[in-house]
Amino acid sequence: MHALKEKISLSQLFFLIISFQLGTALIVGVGKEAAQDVWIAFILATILGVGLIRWYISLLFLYPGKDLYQLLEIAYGRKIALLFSFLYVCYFLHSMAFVLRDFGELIVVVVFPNTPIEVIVLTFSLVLAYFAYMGIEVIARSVEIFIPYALFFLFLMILFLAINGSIQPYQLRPVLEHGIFPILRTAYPSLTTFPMGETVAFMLILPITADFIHTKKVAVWAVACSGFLLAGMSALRIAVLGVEQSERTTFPFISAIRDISIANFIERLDALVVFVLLLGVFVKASIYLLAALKGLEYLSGIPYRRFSIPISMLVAMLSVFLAANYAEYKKEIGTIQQILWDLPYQQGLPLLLTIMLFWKHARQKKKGEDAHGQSG
Amino acid sequence: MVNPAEWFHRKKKEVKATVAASLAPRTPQPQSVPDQIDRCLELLSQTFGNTADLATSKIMFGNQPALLVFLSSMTDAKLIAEKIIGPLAISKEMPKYEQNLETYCETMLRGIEYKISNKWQEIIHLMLAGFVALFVESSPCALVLKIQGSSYRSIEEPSTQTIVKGPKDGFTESADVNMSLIRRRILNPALRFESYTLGTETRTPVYLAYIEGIINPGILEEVRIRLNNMQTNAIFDTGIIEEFIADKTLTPFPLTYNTERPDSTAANLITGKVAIIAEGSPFVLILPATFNDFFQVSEDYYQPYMMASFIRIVRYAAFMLSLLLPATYVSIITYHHELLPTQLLISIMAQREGIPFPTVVEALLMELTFEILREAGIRMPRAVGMTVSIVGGLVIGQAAVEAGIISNIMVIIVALTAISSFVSPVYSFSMSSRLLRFSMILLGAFLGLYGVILGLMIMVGHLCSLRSFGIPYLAPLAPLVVADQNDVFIRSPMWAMKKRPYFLHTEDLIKQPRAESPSPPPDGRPS
Amino acid sequence: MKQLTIWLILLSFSSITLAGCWDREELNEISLISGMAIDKGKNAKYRLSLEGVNAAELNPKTRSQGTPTVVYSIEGNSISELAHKTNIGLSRKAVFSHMRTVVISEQIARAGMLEFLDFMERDREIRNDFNIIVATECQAVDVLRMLYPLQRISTAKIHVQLDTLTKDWGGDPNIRLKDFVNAIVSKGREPVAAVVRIRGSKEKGASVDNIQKPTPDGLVEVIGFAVFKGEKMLGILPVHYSRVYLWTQDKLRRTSLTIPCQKNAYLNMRVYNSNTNVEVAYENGKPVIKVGIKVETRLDGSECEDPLEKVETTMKYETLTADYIRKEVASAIATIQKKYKADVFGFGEKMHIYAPKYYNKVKNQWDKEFARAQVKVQVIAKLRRTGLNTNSFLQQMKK
Repeated sequence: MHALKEKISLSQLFFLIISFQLGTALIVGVGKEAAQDVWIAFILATILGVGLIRWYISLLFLYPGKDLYQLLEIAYGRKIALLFSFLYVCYFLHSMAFVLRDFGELIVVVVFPNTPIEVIVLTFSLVLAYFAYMGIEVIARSVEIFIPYALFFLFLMILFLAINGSIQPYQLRPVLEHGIFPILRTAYPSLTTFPMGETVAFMLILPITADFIHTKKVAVWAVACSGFLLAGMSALRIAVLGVEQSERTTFPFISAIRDISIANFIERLDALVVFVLLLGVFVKASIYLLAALKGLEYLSGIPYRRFSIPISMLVAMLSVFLAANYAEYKKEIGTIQQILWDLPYQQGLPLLLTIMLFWKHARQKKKGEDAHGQSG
Repeated sequence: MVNPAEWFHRKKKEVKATVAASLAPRTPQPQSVPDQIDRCLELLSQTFGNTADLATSKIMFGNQPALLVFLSSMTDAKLIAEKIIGPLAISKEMPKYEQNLETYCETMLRGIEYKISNKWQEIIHLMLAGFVALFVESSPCALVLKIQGSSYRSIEEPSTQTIVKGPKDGFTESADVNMSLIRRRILNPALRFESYTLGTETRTPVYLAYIEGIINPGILEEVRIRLNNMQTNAIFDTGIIEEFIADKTLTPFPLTYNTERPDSTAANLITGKVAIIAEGSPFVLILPATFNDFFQVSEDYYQPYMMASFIRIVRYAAFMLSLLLPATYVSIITYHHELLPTQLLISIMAQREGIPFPTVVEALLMELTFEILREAGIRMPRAVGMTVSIVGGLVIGQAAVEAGIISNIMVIIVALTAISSFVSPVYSFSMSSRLLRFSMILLGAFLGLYGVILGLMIMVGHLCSLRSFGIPYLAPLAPLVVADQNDVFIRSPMWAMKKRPYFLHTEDLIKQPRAESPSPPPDGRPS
Repeated sequence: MKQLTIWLILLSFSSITLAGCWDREELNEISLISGMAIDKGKNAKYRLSLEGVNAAELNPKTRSQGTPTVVYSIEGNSISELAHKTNIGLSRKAVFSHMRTVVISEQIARAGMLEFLDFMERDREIRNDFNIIVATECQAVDVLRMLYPLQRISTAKIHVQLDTLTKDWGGDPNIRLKDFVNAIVSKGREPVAAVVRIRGSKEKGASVDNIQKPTPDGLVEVIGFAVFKGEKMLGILPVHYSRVYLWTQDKLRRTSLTIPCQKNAYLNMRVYNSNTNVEVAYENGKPVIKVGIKVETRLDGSECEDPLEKVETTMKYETLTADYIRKEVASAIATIQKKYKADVFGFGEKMHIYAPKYYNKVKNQWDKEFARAQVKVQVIAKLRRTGLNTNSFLQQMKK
């Protein structure tokens, strides 16, 4: 009946963005420098993140229907665009490896201490390959199915924490004890890169959305909602654990959930929470995978489904090789790495792209006006 | 040594030739009706052979000798004697100008459907359908009269999909009766039946039912194309048609819905779907089907909406339970025993003392035993069926526990699972959950809850990718259409269901434009 | 190409199945550990004792005359290794997820050898829902051996006992692992714990005969409240100090008070609701701590002669109750200030919130500041009801 082009709806986009942002941010403890004011840092980062996504979408609006790689081609011409696309593909795959590694570490520490991490990462990659093979529509629909339960579970966890009496708001005080600078230092570049700036991957997904004109509003709302949700969760984590314990745990949210013990019946819930977090990790990894696969499609011309299994296996291997131990891993996601590796892709290259695109767009408009003026 | 490639190609050619030969008609058939009745008799014996149910009798039509032929297995001899031989006897006294077939039909035959034809194939086809053929000497045409009296099962309560409150008639094996059951419920000229003849050997009449003006023409066209492209030699049940026309994806989930209930069929037709009725099968196929169709029973609409909503939620929960309960149990007991409260864990440990098998082996053994019991319960003759299946289940379970082979709690789990799997109203759907349950148990045994969740994700992903005649299988849950949620997990009151489901893209979306919720009029004044 | 893909997928699947399952623990291969006891070892740093549950004994159907638990001790230098080494004597793998109580002997507590708490916090099996208590006048392992008729696992009995005691009288500070560790680390708070002792005979209480008598030969009793400074235990105070501690933390809900109204005549008050508000401030170079307690009580029994229907009696009793509570709380805090100089009540943390600048200057000597702090206790007591009777029959007797 209609052309066989993939389309996702606005509500699916909304849920995708929310799950993506919540993804690994709930697992890893970010913003440790800001101590009990981390939630303020998150709010600031959300504002910056909203600005970032508006910027990305305005680039997409210039040439509707074109995604990131095609925009690079328009701006730079095919040869340089190939190089930049290749770099972006590497970036997306690298980020996906981090996501897989995060998740693998979580499972291996909390749930299955004796299982090798390769097994976890491998099985997850197989499932991701299956979903990537089926396409973005299936991923979006699956997220629509799972999201009510995941959000309900999250809400239930918060409720249990409240009933248990674990939430002690006094641990959030004194506010601004060390001044505003630790907060600012945490908000940029740490929180703006992770998790806010990672929405650059959505530059591949947004052009596929139906009702493209409304995507700006939807995406902004989604980023804002998820940002405030993360701010709330980080405040919760400080309120439950306190500053000192929150600094020394590997997985703050999990440690907070371990506190719950209601009526000697509802307790020891961390294995269940892990599987709720699985949804966020799944969405994040599959969006990155899709972004990378589309890049490969752009580079080689072969439909991206063919690449799904080999590439996801490759990333599974990469996630194990990323770091040999936890200390090395912490270094890999440290601030220096963020400035050197994440910032160029999230803000540097898009900045160059913006300049080139606006220049080309203005030139095209002028040309169009000239032609119009001549013919008219 | 035979070259394998050469041998393979040769075999392929041979198979092709055999197929082509089988599709060709057996003997050349004449085109038109011969004038002489003797010649007609010859042709009849050629076509039908010496079959015992072909009855021929020579009678007089006016002054002409005529041949009355019918298949006694398809017609009712008494009715023939009453309705045909009687008037024919009188025909002797007809004035000459009336001894023409057409005028005879118009004047003498009342209330009998007739067709005058000179095409041999058509006459044979109609005779097979239960018509009586009258060949008159020196007339190039034959008169075919409809006396259908072949016995069929009377209308009884359907054996599957029973309900408590609502109509209790079910389809039978005769397509005519089934069509009448539907037509009686939709007294609307827009209800159309299109007839097809499928199956090269059986030549089964198959009817496609739809309501013009509601059905999406795209879906209708697709169904027609698929029915026309069917190439098979026998149709005994709509299940065979289902396998040919359903979307070709490898899936344990059924992509068409079959029902034995006419009210359910009529409701689906009005919603905007098509129904396929086959002669000889009491099950009617309804397409396109979605996942939620398999959780809806017509009783949901006849009972008050709050109760119906609750029961519907119970049905969904029972499906998830039957799918996941043994797998969750196995994975928690084997990997995650810290999830259980201490007291429960201690009592389960006490029960499992001395059991020689690991939990997963226990679970698989019990599930297999239950499958065997269930299948035996269906196939056993009715007289012994009930007792043996229940007692067998209890006795085997109890004896196994006493012998120390399985634990009590495993019996409970398996029994719960089995009962939950019967909650799904459509039998073919419970098959899919049974298949998936085994793979979930294995996943749970190898990777714990992580494996179960991965299996669930793969299942949901697979469901999301399925389409039935272009409609996404999980509509209206994914893609999410908020307006259609009024009939998925809950059933909104009747006055609130104003529109047809959006995903069927029907031509006419509004069901009841002026429906209003009944509420007391303000100020106590009569409304 | 397609074949290769299928092969790769099958290979990766087989990696799951062929290599065996790494984390499988069948239920009849594990032994639930309900309690842990840590003593000072004779030949090594620690002696770890574990109380394992015998599940078949606890189910009424499969019960025989055996013992419901098994206690085993092993010596070594690190609790973490010892926890996995217990199979030297025990048969099944010890699983710590359902631990109820950890008993620390007094020797260990006084020596401050609490480094094993790091192992407990780090391990994923050990949770946050067990009690930490100190055993005095006996070895910690003896506490694990006491069998009790109603609750056949000793540490489960202690867990339930402490829980009920906290809720109904306030005799246990309800210390969990997280509270303990946070108190050690925090500069504004010191850890506390409940102290137990065995009443009766240690040897007789450790046999199955103990369950078969109405008065057990050996019984674990809660006798006091331990004050720590950092990791070292300083001393043991009577049980009512636990109540004061809970009061200052706003965790006390119900308790009973026996207030003398005349010579040898007591007033019994049952507190059923209590709210505490602690305010800290820094005035005139001294920390000032105000503890405001509001309680709602009902009269549970009266031996006094005042007529209970009158409002004046109610007001008199309210004043008596408030005074009694105030004296108890103030004297308890003063004793701890003078004798131990350890801020177990967490006033330092409150100072951190309300007067951060001052606190950040003195936080390394907060205990000394606490010792010289001025503590004001204000109590408002309300007597709401007197139960089923108004006047006592004792008064009617005298008429």
